[in-house]
Amino acid sequence: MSRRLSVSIRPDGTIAAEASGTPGPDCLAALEQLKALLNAEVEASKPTPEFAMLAEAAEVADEAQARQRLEGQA
Amino acid sequence: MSIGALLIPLGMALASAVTSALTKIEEQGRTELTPIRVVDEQLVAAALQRLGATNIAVAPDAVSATTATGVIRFERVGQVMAGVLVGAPPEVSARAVADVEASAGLLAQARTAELAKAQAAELGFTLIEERNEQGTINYVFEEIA
Repeated sequence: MSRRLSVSIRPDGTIAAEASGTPGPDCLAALEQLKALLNAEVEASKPTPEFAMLAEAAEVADEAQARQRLEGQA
Repeated sequence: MSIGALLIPLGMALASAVTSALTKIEEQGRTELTPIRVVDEQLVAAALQRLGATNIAVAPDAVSATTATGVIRFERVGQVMAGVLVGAPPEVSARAVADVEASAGLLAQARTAELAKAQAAELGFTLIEERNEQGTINYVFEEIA
């Protein structure tokens, strides 16, 4: 899936944007692209539910790996 | 996977800056002033011009102009500009200042829309969708493979 930036520029000047198609927590780097694209500052950002779910899964996997490493050392 | 964000264009302020200005205004007892989400004096001046104001004068941290309803003055309070329609009742003044803020918003919207299109190619994106819905300009950019 190719990366997409969806941008809604409101009449009050504020901008709602969404970056999608970015693998894993690299999504956060997409915020930098949005800032550059729009010459704007981020007031608030929030991972979509899909992002949160996958980030949580990645965290669980990292913890499992760390546990395995510790068990291997013991 | 995706992430959503609310962004503020250059020249405009975060909501927290307006809240902070309101606190300052109350502390100073200058409640005639209405703060707006605009940081840039030039954007205030352009917003006034767009509304047909005349005698627009811009100084560091201050803007004044003559509108159909009287003289309007802006000064910086904290990060943002705050305005008053001189001699007008508070609600009339607040409305006039809000009109300037709305005008600045439309100018910022047009500027951002133009910039996004211009910057996209440089960042490796192409515009694949463009819609205008009730005044909101929507773009979808896709990364060039």
